[in-house]
Amino acid sequence: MENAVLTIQDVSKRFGHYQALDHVSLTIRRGDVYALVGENGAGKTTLMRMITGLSPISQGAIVLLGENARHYQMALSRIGAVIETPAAFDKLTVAQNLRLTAIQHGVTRDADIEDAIGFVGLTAKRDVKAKNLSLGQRQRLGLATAILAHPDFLILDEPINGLDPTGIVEFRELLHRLNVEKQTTILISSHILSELYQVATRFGFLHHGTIIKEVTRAALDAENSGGLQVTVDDAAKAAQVLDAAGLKGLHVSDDQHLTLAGAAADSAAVNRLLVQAGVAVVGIRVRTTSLEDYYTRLLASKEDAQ
Amino acid sequence: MINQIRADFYRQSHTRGVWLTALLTVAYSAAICWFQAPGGIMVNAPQHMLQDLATKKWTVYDGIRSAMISSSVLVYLFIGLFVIVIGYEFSQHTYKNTLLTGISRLGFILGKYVTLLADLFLGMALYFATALVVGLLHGLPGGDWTATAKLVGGGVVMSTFFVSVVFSLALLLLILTRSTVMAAVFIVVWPLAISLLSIATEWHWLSYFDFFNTESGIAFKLIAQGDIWRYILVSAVVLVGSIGVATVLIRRQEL
Repeated sequence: MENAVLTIQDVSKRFGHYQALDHVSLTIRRGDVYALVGENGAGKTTLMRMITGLSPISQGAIVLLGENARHYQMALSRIGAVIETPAAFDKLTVAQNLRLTAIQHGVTRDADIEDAIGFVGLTAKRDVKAKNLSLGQRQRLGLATAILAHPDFLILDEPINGLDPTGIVEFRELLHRLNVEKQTTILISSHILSELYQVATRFGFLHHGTIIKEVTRAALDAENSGGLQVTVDDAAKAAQVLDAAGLKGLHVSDDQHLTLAGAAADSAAVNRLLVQAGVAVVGIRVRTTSLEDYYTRLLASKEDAQ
Repeated sequence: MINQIRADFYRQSHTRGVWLTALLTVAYSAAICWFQAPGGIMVNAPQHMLQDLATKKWTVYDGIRSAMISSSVLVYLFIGLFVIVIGYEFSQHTYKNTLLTGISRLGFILGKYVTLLADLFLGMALYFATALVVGLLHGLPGGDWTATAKLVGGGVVMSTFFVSVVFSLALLLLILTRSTVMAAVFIVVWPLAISLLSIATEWHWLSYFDFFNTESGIAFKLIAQGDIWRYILVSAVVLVGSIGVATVLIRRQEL
C-alpha cells in the first residue's frame, strides 16, 4: 500500500510464557491519527516499543515509512516518539535538552528549537531545568523533543496521563495542529477514551494482544448513532402516543425520559406527534454512545463469541 | 555517531560534574608537583622509585614521573565522567531518545566509547600538563626535555588507552546489568582485585589484565620492551570484545 506509513504484519511477542502480542496486523496511512485502544496489559506499549525498535521483533514484520527491519535506522530518523515516561536530562534546561536533541538529529537551525518550544507552550519555561518541571510540562517537553526534527510519523504512548483538564484540552489542540498544520501522521494510545475519540481518525482495538477490530471515525459514529433521546413532562403518555403511531423500540427510562431506538427515527415527526397529543416536549436529541460504550460492547461480544 | 558524540560533549559542557572533575584533576596534579609528594592507590608500589623521589632534588621530569606514579587516583576521579557520559543515559532513560534518532546499536556503543576516550585523553593531558606547568612555576630545573616530552606524550596516550579498556569493560557490565553502581564499583575494584589476585596466586599472566599499572610499567621500563606488544594486544582484544559483546547484548535487550 503506497500510502502506508506503518505496516505491521503478523507480529507476535512472547515474554516467557506470557503472550503479549498475538499475530497483530494493522496499517496506518499517511495523515491518520490512529488511536490504539486497549486496557492495561493489552499490549499497546509493547507494540509501540517494537515499532520504535526498543523491543526486538521475534516474529512477524514491521515496515516503517517503506523500510523493513534491515534498514530501520533510516526510518527511525524520520519519526518522533514518546514511549512510556518522557525522558529528559534532569539537570539541563528545556532549551538545553532540545539543543541536545537538535544536535543528535543534525538539526542546525536555532529557529527549529524555538519553534518546538513555542509549539508546545513552554516558552516561559525554556530556562527551567527539566527536574523542576511539572508532569504536564515534562509531557510537553517530551512532545517537543519528538517533533523537533519535523518527523513524518509521531508515536505517542499515553501522552495525556497525568495532565490536568486544561492540559488535556491544550494537548488535544496540539495534536490537531500537528496533524493538520504539519501533516504529521500520529499513532496514539491512551486510557482516556473520550479524548482519543476527539482526536483520532481511526481506531484499533487491542485486547489480550490481539487486534479485535479496526474502524474509522466515520464508521464508528455510524455504528454508535441512531435513535432519539426524548425528554418530556410525561414519559408514559409520550410512550403511548408514539406506540400508537407505530414507532417501535421505545424504552421509558424514568418519568421524564424515554428513548427511541432505530436509525429511522425522525425527531421532527416525533416532536409533532407528541405536541399534537398534548405532551410537553422539553428536548429531543440524537442518541450516541461513547467510545467507552462501543469498546465495552466490543469486548462483550468478543467474549460471547469465545 | 558523530552527532551523538557532539551531543555528549554539549551535555558535558553544561554539566557541573565535568568541570568539577577537571578542577580536581588540576588540583591533584598541582599538589603532587608543588609539594613534591607522589601518592596513589597501589597494591604493589614501585618502592625504589618512591624512595628515589623522596630523596633527590626534583626536576620537571621527576614531577611528571611522580604524576605518572600517582595517576592511579585519576581512575576514581574519572568514574564521574563514565557516569555522566553513559550512566545517566540509562538511569534517566534518555537512551530511548538517542536510539530514536536512527543511530545503530553499534554506533551508540562505539560513540559512547569514543566520547569516554576523548574525555580520558583530555583529562590525562590536563593532568600531565598541570604537572609540567606547576613544576616550572615551582622553579624546578628542566632536566632532559626530550625525555620529559616522551614521558608526557607516552603517559597521556598510554594512560588514555589502558584506562579506556577498563571503562569498556565497565560499559559492558552496565549494559548487562543496567546498573551504573555496579559498573562504577567494577572500575574501583578491578585494579585492586587483579593486583591482589596476582600476588596471591602468582599467576603472572594476570599482569596482562592489570590495565592501570601497564602504562606506568611501560613508561618506567618495568615491562620488557619485547613484551609490550603482548600487553597492547591483550588490551585491544579485551576492548574490541567488550564493545562487540555490549553491542550484541543491547541489540537483543528489551530497552
